[in-house]
Amino acid sequence: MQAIHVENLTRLYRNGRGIKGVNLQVQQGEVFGFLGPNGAGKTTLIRTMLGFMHPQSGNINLLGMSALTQSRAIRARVGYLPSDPALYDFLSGQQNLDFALAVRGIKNRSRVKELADRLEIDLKRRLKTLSRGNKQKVAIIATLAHDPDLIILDEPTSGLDPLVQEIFSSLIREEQARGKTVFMSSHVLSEVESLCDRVGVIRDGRIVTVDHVENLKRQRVKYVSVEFRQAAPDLAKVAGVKDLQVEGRKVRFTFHGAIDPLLGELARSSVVDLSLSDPPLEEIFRAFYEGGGGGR
Amino acid sequence: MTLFRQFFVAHIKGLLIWMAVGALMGFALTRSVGTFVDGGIFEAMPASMLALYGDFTGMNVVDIYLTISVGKGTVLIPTLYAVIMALSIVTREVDRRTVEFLLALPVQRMQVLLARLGVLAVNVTLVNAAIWAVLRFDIAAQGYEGSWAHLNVLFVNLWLLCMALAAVTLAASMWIDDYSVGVKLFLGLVTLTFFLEYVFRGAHLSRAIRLITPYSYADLAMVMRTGTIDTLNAVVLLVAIVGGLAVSFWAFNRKQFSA
Repeated sequence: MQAIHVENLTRLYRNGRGIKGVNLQVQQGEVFGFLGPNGAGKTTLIRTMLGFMHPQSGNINLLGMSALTQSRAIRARVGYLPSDPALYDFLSGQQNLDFALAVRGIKNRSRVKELADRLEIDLKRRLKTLSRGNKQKVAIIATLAHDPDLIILDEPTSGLDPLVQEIFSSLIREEQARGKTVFMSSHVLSEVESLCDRVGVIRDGRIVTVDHVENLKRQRVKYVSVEFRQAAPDLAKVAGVKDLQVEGRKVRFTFHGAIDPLLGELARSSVVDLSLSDPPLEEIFRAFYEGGGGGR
Repeated sequence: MTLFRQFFVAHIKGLLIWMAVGALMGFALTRSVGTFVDGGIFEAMPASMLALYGDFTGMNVVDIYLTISVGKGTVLIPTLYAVIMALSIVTREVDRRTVEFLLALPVQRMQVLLARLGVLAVNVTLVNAAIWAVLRFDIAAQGYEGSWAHLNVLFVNLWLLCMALAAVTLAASMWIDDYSVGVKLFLGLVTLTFFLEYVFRGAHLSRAIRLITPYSYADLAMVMRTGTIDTLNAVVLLVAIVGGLAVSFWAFNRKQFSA
């Protein structure tokens, strides 16, 4: 079953920015990363999915329900963490959470206590006295306390220290293990790389690519370093070779596409050392962000 | 009910402050009732000056004092409070971004608006009630008798005026996302019209012109004299309330909460 099904979704602002004809499917139990530079449309898509904004065209189905007509029922089963969460400052963390849970009709507070212990946060203090990171922790508890089936996170770890980021990551993995679906926007690629099954990249309001993290890393780009016994052959003519740097018998380049032609060319020469490595995700997505379509 | 309770708690400190300010202002005025009533100040005032406050023909001095105390004094407190409360319903939530927290909960936008309007109505009633209680009981405690039944009607008229101002402010606030801008704009407008009404009366302008100020829809001297609210005033205030709320519900339902 699909937890998220977005079809031809368009929501444009007056300045022409927004999202245009977005199609996206996320399976139940999946952790999906949503990447894009600032202003690409990540938050607009999330807000439209949650009913904060009305789409100009297209359909959104979350957990098998239409977001346009069953928004309230959807929000009962969704946990949403905004990028810069704002709760009621004059209330304590506990009071904010009590309010949210009371509106949801949930009386059991055991999950709140469990999450507060994990995140090491004192919920008795008023929010206005808390640091940004601690406010973020309260917001994380508000997102997960009602045991949502779909968790939507917009830049979830901004403001958290590395230790809490690690706790947060383990919480997300546990939620996934319990069959929950997670949709998270981020531009912390290491976080996406470690947590997500698949990623989608949005640029200028359009989805540029959706693929498994491993596929993207494997198929798109390799860093190649070769040391030849004699003078290096001319590898520039090999399809897929880019950024070629020759230093005597050593060459370094990035390689895109099927690797067979490259291996064939290398086999004609005597190779002393060969190293192929995956570039960090940053390198791959920079190409998408800059309009290079993954460097292909 | 959970939403109502939450919003009521959110405003309780402000409510107590405004009630205290209104009550203290009323108390300050009631303490001087003897000076005005026994000192014959109203009788000594030129008729044209007294006319600035309304038509007091045939009224007893305590009722005149009550009318002026409310009409040119305490009325500002509940009306300004109503405007601020109206701005807090959507504009402040948007400005402080708590609207995201609210709208992520399984509630309809209508429920949010209704709960907040309920709190507004209750709080405006309580602020008016605090002023009414001080005027009613402190003047009586000093041994003066006013037309208390008429004073009750006067406060009903005031309540309608507060709610009409709140409804119109709420409707307009749907297009204002900056709370401080909203507060400056609406408090400025309301205060300006309060004094304009006074100036228009002094300039003997026709009622038609005076009707551009909201305060002209509470003809307090007439209410204290007759014990009834002018029909036209009541209709205009009710239309403003219903119209303002209708626009508010329509606009809030369609409002886009972008980043």
